[in-house]
Amino acid sequence: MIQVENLTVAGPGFYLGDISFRVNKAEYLIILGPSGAGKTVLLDTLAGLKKPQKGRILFAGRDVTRALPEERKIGYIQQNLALFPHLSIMENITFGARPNRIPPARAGERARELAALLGIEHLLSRANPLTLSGGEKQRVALARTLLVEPDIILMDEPFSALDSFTRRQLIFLLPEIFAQFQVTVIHVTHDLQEAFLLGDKIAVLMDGRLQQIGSRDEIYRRPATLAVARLLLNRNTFSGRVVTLSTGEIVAQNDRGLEFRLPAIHHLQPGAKIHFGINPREVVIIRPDRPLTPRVRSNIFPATVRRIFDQFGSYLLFLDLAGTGIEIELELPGYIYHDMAISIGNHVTVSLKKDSFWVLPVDEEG
Amino acid sequence: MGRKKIAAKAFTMAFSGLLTMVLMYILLLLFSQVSYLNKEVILSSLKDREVHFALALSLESALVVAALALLIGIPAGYALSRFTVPAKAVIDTIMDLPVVISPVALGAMLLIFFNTAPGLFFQEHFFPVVFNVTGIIVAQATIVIFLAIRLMKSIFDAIDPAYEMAARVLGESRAGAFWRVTLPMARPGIMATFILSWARALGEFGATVTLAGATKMKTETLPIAIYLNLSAVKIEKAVALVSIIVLMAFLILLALRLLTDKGALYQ
Repeated sequence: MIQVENLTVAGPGFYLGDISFRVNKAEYLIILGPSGAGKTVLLDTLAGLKKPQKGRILFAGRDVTRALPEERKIGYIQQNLALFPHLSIMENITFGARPNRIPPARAGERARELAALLGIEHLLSRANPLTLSGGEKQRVALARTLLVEPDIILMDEPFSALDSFTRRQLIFLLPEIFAQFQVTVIHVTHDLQEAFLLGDKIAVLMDGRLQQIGSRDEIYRRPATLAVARLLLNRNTFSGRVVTLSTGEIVAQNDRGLEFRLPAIHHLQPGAKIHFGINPREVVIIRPDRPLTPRVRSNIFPATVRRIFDQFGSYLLFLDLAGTGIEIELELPGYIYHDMAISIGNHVTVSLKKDSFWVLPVDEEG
Repeated sequence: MGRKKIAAKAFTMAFSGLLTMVLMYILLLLFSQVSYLNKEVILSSLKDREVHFALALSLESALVVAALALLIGIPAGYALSRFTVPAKAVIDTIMDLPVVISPVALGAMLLIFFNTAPGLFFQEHFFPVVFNVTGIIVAQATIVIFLAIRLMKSIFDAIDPAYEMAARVLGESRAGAFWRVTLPMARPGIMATFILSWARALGEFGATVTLAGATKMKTETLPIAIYLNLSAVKIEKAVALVSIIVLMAFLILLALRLLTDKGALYQ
């Protein structure tokens, strides 16, 4: 288990402010954020390579805030992997045996087991790690880390240098391996897909601050800040005011006076300024030949298709909501797109499902 | 189009022409020695006791100095590269001084130091330095150690600290990471530093002659031997000594090139 309390780390060119979170044993935490958010600084601090100004770090209840990296008993796979270029693959994997007092024979045996598990047995006889492919290097780094049996593994953008095929293979392999060894993982990435595929929990880090931590669903449906909503590609965002409030529903108007029905949130008064928005995936086109299910029976607007982009597997449509001057984005699965034979200039009816909206009170200071 | 082509050609011609001229200049210098070199000169200088002495003294002192330079240059260069040093710019500049200032000036400084109270105390209790063979080592080492620190710092700078970090996270201590990772990764750079240090010590004249003096068959290194023989108008012997120095320099530089051309320095 990892517990981070009010961690503040500052230095030339980086700042992390007041970070607190906890990760349970064998849980997989994704730290999601754009580049420059401070993700690597956070991992470096957890690994003991950077010293925090404030706060505490506890691993399984043990305070390691001031511990040296070699005392923390963790695995840290840095972005550049740092495979030792002067050592063979086998020597790389068994590197941690000596300081951890694992007898050489046992280390070799364990290296072979790990190599088998990771599918790199054929590399064990190779001399130079610089000749390996990106995916192979990644697996060797993983084996080297697992050899010392850490309870915690930190990974910094582990897939950023890999082609999409290798990436996919590793994304499906990693959770299996980590579950087998019961390791707690903190994995840093800027990639949404990676975050949602792997994270039991997702923490969003932006500008050195933890914006939100929660389950995938919470992050996706209930972004805690406008910045998180934008990071999760919520391009349909509006600002407006609450008109009326009732149980379970807010009626709001956007800046242009268009009325929306939104799910209720706490602590709002009529007239309060709000931001609200909906993910392009949650916008649906209503098919004229089908009855409306209750879920889509609010926020129905006529619209015109302006632009279409093929996103490989899905289509992104830019629509003008008729007579409002509002442009919204809609992501449509390929089969529906083809089924409906949509083309530019089509008039369609869209529903911005009420329960798919997120609503945030506007911070009056901001 | 035609004019541009001519301009491009003229540019290439002018620059490569200049390069050729400088090369010719070196070759001219080398070949001008040949008229003094004949079979007898070569044979007699090969048997000459003074030449033997100067060569042996030069090789030995340079070897000791280069070894000393590595012994001090590796840890000091590492510290300069990795640790946070207060007033870094000032310290860096001070470290560069012995390499940059005129060797005679450095020699004079050493001579004066060894005639002050702490210098005399040192000579009394450890070993005599002024006008002595040990003075050769002291003079050369004063320059070469700082050169080695400078070189080793840049070699350690080129090795990403991420490797040491990886080693430490895997459980190695700071010293363990240095021994098992940084030092072996720096090996080609250490060899290069050794060769350059040795070469610099071998060619040192100004500081050596000022501190250790130019005593025939006592503090007579190769450069000092050339100086003594030229002063005594023994041109043939001087030329023979010059040839030895040129040949050694050529071999040293060639070895260095072969060593570094393997792309041996890791990034």
